[in-house]
This record gives sequence, C-alpha cells and structure tokens, in this order.
Amino acid sequence: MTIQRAAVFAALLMSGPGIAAAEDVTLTSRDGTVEVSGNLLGYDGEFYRVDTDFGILTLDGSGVICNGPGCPDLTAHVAKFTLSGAPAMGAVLIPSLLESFAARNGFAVRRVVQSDERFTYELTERRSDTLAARVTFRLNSSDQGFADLIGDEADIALSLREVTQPEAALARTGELGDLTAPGRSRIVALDALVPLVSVSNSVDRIDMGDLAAIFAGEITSWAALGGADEPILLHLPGETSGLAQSFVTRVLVQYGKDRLAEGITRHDTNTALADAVAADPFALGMGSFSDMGNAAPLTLIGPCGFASNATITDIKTEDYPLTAPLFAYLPARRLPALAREFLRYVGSPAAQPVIRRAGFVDQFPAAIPFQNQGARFANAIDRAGSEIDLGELQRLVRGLSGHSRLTVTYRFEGGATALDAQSRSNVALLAEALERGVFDDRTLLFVGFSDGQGPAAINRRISQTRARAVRDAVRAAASTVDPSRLTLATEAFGEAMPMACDEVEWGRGVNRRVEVWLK
Amino acid sequence: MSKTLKRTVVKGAAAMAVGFAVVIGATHLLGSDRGEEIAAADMGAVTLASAQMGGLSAPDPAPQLPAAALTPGKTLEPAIEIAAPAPEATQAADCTATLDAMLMEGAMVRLTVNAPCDASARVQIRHETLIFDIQTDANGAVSVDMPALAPIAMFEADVAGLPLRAIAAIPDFESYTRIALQWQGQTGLQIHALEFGADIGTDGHVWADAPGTSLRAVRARGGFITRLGDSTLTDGHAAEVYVFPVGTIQRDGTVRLSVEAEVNAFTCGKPVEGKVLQPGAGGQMQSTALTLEIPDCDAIGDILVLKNLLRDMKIASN
Repeated sequence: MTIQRAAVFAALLMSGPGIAAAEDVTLTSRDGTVEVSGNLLGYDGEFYRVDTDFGILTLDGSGVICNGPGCPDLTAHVAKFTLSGAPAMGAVLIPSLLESFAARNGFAVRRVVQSDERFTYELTERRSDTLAARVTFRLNSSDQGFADLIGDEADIALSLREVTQPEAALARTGELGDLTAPGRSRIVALDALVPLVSVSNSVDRIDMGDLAAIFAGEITSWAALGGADEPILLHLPGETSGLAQSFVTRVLVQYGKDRLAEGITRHDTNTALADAVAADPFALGMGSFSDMGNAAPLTLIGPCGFASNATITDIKTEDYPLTAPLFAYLPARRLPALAREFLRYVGSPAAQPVIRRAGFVDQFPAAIPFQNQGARFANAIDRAGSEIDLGELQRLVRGLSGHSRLTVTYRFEGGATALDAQSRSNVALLAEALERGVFDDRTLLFVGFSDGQGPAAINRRISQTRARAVRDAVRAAASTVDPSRLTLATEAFGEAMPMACDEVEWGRGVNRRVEVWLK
Repeated sequence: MSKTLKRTVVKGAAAMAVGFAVVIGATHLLGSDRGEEIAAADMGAVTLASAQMGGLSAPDPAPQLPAAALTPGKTLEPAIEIAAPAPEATQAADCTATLDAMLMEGAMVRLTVNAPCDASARVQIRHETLIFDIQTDANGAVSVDMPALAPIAMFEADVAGLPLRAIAAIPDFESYTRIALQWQGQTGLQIHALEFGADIGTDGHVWADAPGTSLRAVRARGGFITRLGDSTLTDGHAAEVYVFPVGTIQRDGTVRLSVEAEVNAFTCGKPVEGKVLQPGAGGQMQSTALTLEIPDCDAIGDILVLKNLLRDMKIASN
C-alpha cells in the first residue's frame, strides 16, 4: 500500500534531475524493488518512522534494509521512553512494577538517580549483558505530565485525574489525536481520597457536607464535629496535584462551594501531608489511601446515617465514593516494544501483588460471598418502606442467594448512562477475564440498582435498562468468547438496596449502579 | 550432658547462658574417653563449612572462645558439609585461614575471620549480593556482627584471594524485615528511619549516629541499623542494614525510610555506585543496582535527600 505508492513516486523522482541533498536514511525492500528516502524520525526496534517528501511513513523494519548515516544500530537498539507526571504514581508504584517486570523477564536493573523527581532505570539483558532499555522518570504533577505528553517531551503521562477538555483540545491540534478515546488511557491501579486526622483526635467520622464546608472556610472549629473547641488546621496537596483538583471538583463544587478557605497548608507529596497531619491533633487533611502513614482515616457519613470506609474492597467496588483511579495516558504513535510489554504486564494478574504491596488497590475481580454481605441486606430490610415491600425484598434475597458479588461494579457519570472512568476500565477487565476463561460454565448476573428518587417502579425499569446496557457492552468487548460457554443474565431491583444517602447527590451516585454477581 | 547439648542446639541464641554452663561439661567431655560424645562436641568446636585444611583432628580448644564452641547455629547443621569444598590436605599450616559464623540474637550473625599469616589484610565479605570490606588486625583476625539476609545464611570471606565459607541457619529470620544500602568509597551515605511518626532526633529516629542495638529489636521496641565496612579502606565497599522486628512489634503504622548523601570533596560531581536490597513482591530480598549522581562541587556541604529510594515499611500488627 504505502510502499507501493511510494515506489511509484520514488521511481518518478529518481528518474528526474538531481533531487535535494543528503538524506538521513534510505530504506530498501529486501527484493530491491522499493526504495524510500528521508530523515529518520525514530526506530522503536520494529518500525521505522521516516519523514519523506510524501509525508511521515511508518515502515516495518523486518521488510527493509537501511542505508545511510542516519541508520540505527540494529544490534544495539535500546528502547527509550519517558514517563512524566504525578509523584504519587511515579515514586513507588511504577518503579516497583518496572523492577518486578525486569526480574520476570531476565533483565538486571540499575536505578540512576539525580533526585526523587528525576531518575532513570536501565534494563540490561542478563544473558547477553546488553542494555535493552532506558526508562526516564520525570515527576512533578499530573498537570506537568499532560503538558509533557502534549509537548512531546514524554511518552507516557502519569495522572491522578482524567484529561481536561482544554488539554484534550490542545492535544488534538498536535500529533496526539484524541486523548479521550478509549485505549489512549489505562487505569494502572486504584487509590482514594481519604480525610485524615491524627490518631489522638477523638473525631472518627465526618459528613461529606461538613467536609466541604470546612475546606471552604465555613466551619472552623472542631467543636462543630463533636471535638474540642479548637481551630481546624487544614492540609491539602499542592494546587497542581491531580488529587487536590479532584477533591475540589468532587466535593467542594458538588456542595456549591466556589472557594477554598484561607491558610490551607499545601504539601508536595501525600507522604508529607500524612506526616504533618499525624503530628498535629488539630489537623485535618485530604490524603490518599495509599499513603496514610501514621495518620488515621475518617469514616465518611451521609445525612441519613450510611457510613463509607476507605477499604480495599470498597475502593475496588467503588462503594467508597471518593475513589481515585491512577491513569497512564499514551501517545498515538507506537511505543517501543519493551514499553508495550511493560504496559501489558502492568495490566496482567502477575502485577497485582506488586500493586498491593506498594499500598494501592489492584483492579482484579474478587468475589464477596453472599454470607459476608449481611449488613447490606439488613439495611435493605431496615429501609424498606411503602414502595419496597416484603415481596420485593424476598425477590432480592432469592435472586442473589447462592451467588457471590464480584468486586467489578459499574457506575455512571452525571446521572446518565455514561460509565465513569473506573467503570469503563471494568468493562475491558471483565471482558478480558471472560476471554481468559475465568468464568467458563458459570453464570454472571448483571444486577441493576437505582437511587431512590422518583417512583420505585420506574426506578426498577431504569435499573433494568442499565443492567442490560452493561451486559451488552461486556459481551461486545469479549469478542473472542464462545457464547455457549457463558451465561450473561440480567436482573434489576431498583431502589431496593441503597448503599448511601439519597438526600445528597454523591449518595445517589453511589446508589445508581450495576453489580455483577457470580454463580 | 549430651541431652543438654541437644536442647541448646534447638533453642538457639536464647540459650547463651545455658551454653556457658554446658561449656564446662563439654570441656569435660573432650577430656573423657567417650568417643561419640567427643565427636558431637568436636563438631561444635570445629568451624563448620569452612575451608579449613586438615580439619578433622581436634584443634586446640584453648585459643578459641568457649562460647563459640557451642554455637547453636553451627551445630544445627552438621549435614551441610557440602558447603565446604575443603580439600583433604595434610595437617600443617600455621597459615590456615578460617571463617566462623555464630548465631546472635536479633537474627544477627557474628563472623570471625582468622588468618594468622594475613595481618592487616583486606577482607571482602559477601552475603546475598551484599558486599563490604574490612581489615584484619596485627594477628590476622577480624570480627563483625551483621544481620542475616536469608533464613539459611551463606557467607563468603575473601582473604587475599582465598575464599572462605561459612553458613548459619537463622531460626527467627521471619520475625524481622530488613533493608540494605551498599556503596563503594567515602560517600557519606546514610539510611534514616523514622519509626511511627517519630520526629528527627527523637527516640524513633534510627540512623548512623543513633543506630540502636539488636536488643531494641529483640524487645520489639523498634529497629536498629548496622554499619558494615571499614571506612579507612580506600574504595572499600561499605553498607548499612536496617532491621525491624515486624513479627513482634505491637504497633501499627509506617516506618519512613530515606537515604541521605552528603555532597563532599570525594564525591561531588561524580557518580556513586551501589546497591539497594529490599523485599520484593514475594517477600524475598530483591537487589537493584544504584548509581547516585551527586550534585556538583559548588554544592559541597549540601545533603541530597532521597525519600523514594527505599520503600517505606507499612506495619500492621496482628
């Protein structure tokens, strides 16, 4: 295709009078019939990217021979790529994964360090003692990560938040294409925003509305939370931190607060924030689940009394409302083969223990047995009213008994039917598990739930629609699966089993969900 | 008597006091005529798994510390003679060099090198990819206490090109977790551990100037740092190992680990080569080679602080 077309043009050009001067490389097909010349933009170990008179061409290296001063040394090819972005991801998590990946694939590892924010990993193949890859880390913030990706200073952006509309627009003007497209970002692991206090603080729970009011400067004393009459000293990550930005969007803006309080102490790292809070009995900080250090987390409560704790399971299921996926954004062009293998490893079951050991939450589906969910069913009975009657509760119990709930749960953005980022990733995860045969000869039940606003019958119907939509999305994504090996059924119980308070939007968001149960 | 000996063997380091009592009995045994018991006591007196030449005849017990003769760690492994590739040579040699590994509390091992013909000689100790250099004294002897980095700990000592080997089994290895930093040259590298939110300079701040002792760990109060290597040796390898009693400590929380590198006249503007050993995903020690690019010489006196080089320890008591 491209080569044939190029061949015609090349033939025409070569037959004309002398063209322009020294070009970097000349790629010739192995039978000598096709020749392309130009400046070499890159060689990733497999493909040449050449800037020719016809534009940028990508040619399979195995089909051509390179001649000219710009040709890469094929035997000594070193994969080079740069990761830039959030220190929370780049400090411990990604290096641990890289070390583990190296160990599994016969590479010796050397860490060349300039500082905590700038270091390089050199991977050397043990058998041949040849350098195989140089992976550079530049850690600053999620903001800087996107800037570096867009500015072509980095190959992978590490971010604690999704790409913003302005960033995506800027990316589209360059070679990056659509950063919001699926496949352009991966969720590497899960973290969560957790309100932290010192262990010597008697307060152990906080209403989300109070949390917003405190950080907006409206509540200033611990007395309002049942503690001592002392000023609350506030801590947040830096303004460029994806977590801080996420907190403002999901908590403050949700409650209509348009500004932050005065005098909030900012920290460069989650570690520094956790340590500062742990040392001060009057401190309150928004930290991360992955690095609570010696501080204590507060339970999040809603106005109706439902409590949410940041635990591994509740973060995996997104039952905890402030989960924070860790994103890796990728460029449109191909990354070097080793980089692609590393990303594949990061998404594989083998990497999940490394993720857990680093203190983060992995995404791998775990099963919660029916009998471990007594509290949820007790709540359902407790809150049953005129619209959810005994018959409906019995249908709920009978429908789910004998099944286990998978941690894979689907939630929606903005109240509509669009899945949020973690849930979009879960579609791919579940599909992959299906393709791997994990659930062969089992039944997967997609169970829809809704919030409590509006009539119960309508809510049941909406939740049924959502359950079917998720089931269909997963089935479509698991394209290689033999349909006869699986049963993917749906069920819907509307508002029958709320998990959070319908009085507040974040509670309604937690309640609107599709769970997956396994038999 | 032999029954007491066996019990000492099994109880390991905790039985030091009993060990002393048994010493008296053992010396008695050596003098007595009971062949088999002598053999058992002999095994205790002889350095196991060392490259000792002509080692089967009973050595003169006098120059050796009696306590060493009944090291529980050593007598535990009579079967592991395979680790000693000692050729059968004639008994001669004032120059016989030996390496002795004696189990201590806190999963530590006391290595003793005796090389009578190699006074003031450089000795390189190697254990589980950790390397450090020390020097024998005027009598050719040197001793160092070091944390074991594996439950079956194999040690190698290189004295003037001759490798000596010793082995010790560490019964309480799993009660502790450890992290090691190794380097070469006068680098001013230090590990700093801040245990459970301790402030700098307080009791929970463990570092070279306040290293703690293994007793602190045995009592489950906190960790301790062992500094290995002779700083007077040029270009010698040196290391620091931080050991923490993860199995017995009764607190939950995090130990913050950081590395400080002083920018001094020896290292400024140059790379420092080294190694980091820390537990990997499966729990076993994983080694990563390290190159530290020290800032330029106009920054002499500054300290490069690295907080992410060593992964913090998250402790959850059960």
